[in-house]
Amino acid sequence: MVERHQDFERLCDDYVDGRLDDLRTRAVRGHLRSCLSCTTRVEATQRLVAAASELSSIDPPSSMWSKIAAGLDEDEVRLADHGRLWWLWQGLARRLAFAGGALAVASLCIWAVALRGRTALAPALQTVRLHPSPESLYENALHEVERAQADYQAAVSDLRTIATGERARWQPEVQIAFDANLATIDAAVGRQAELARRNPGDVAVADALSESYRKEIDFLQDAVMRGQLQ
Amino acid sequence: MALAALVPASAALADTAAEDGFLVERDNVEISPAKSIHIEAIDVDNRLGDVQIIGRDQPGVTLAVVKRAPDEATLDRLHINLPVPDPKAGVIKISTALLIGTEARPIAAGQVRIDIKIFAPRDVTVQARAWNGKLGVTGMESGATLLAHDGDIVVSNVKGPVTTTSMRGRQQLSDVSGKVSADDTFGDLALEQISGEALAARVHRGTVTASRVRSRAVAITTTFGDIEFRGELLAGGHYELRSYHGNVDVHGSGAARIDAFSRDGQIRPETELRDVMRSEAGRLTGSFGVSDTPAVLLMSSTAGRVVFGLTPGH
Repeated sequence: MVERHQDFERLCDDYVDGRLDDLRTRAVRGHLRSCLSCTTRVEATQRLVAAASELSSIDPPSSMWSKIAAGLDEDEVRLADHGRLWWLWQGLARRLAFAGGALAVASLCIWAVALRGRTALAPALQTVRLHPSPESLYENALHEVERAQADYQAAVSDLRTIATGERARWQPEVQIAFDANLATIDAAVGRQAELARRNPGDVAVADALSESYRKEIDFLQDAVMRGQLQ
Repeated sequence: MALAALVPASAALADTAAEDGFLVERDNVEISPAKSIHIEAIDVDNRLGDVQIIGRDQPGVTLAVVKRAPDEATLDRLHINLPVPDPKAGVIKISTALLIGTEARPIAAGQVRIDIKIFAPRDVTVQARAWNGKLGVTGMESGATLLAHDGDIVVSNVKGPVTTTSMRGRQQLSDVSGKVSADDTFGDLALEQISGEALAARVHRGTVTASRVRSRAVAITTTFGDIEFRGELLAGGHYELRSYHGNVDVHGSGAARIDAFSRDGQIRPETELRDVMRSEAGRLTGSFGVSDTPAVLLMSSTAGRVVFGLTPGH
């Protein structure tokens, strides 16, 4: 009997805070009918909560509940008589139910997002106003700079591919000069890229890297046109 | 003191309002230099939005600034730096930044904006830099150097040397009288009514359309995009239009010696030439019109088509 009382005692605070599910709430209420110690504790806690809260509580009219309460009282006394396994199951079942519910909601969200992805999502997103933090704006800006460098690299890559195909048509001395010049430019771009990597957010360094890429693009573009000269 | 004299009357008017869920702040700043000081140049670095520079026949510079942010705290973090200019250099430098912590960063940001419209004396040289905002210059007479990333560049009614560079933005230059150098990596380039000693344009993946061009030295190069040239071939002029993958299409007037090359495509002359030679596969040379100093017209595309048609000059 002492063990049962301790089980209920542990639930008193949760009962006052309303954190118990319906069945356990009713079981605790059933226990309170017969346990003066727990009733005193619960009432003291409730007074404390009431005093701490400035919000006035809204009680249902007693006439509404009088008939319902009489019917529930018997049921609650019955619930209080359950064994320990029942209490464990109620706690576990609640967690399982919550996890299952969360999974269902998550899959529903994924499904909804997938469906929205097939239709135009942009208009819906336009209605969402997210207030960005300065840090997130800054992060976005850094990504923009990274994308810009990637764009330049794509252009360089295009031209390198063409140059590789054209190279065989050039005179040997032209090939040697091209290789030497490109190696020098590559080294300069590499140094600038390393500097930019070590100094993210430094616009002067990022600008210098962009300038290096543009020079490399100009050089490669001139090279691939070489075969057109008479 | 000269520094103070340069900006004796700098009046700022600010107004904040909400528009479309964003807070908008409008500021007007007047910079009135002392008579002894001449403003030589304006240097603007605004990666947070548009920059528009308009020439006018008045001394002094007026700035109309519009800031946009989703909330007041972010709006307060948008800074415009307008340091007192060096009176000897005569340069007004304007830059914008987003304050991150205690540090001002001149970054490109998508969810906040600063748009700047500047009214300046026509004889001021312009240097402006933007990121994804639009860069526009009109009515200036001492040239402009403009650099953007995603934003479009629009130049109209400008005299003096004009240099434009963009990564992805489109460029439109019209009614420019001066040396022009336009460079774009992934954007299209439209040149109209360009006159001046030289026109140089480079595009990697984009088209170049040049019409009513009256420059004496023209060099247009693309890797993948088409080139379309419409203009007068001036006596003694040199016109070099080259693409690797794109088509080259030239229609102009004037006497010229012609060298056309297409390795994998075809050459399609729409004009009858004199002294026609085919010295190698894919190459056609010849002359059109009569002149002591004919223009030299070089057109080539490695993988594309070369089409040209000429009419006698005036």
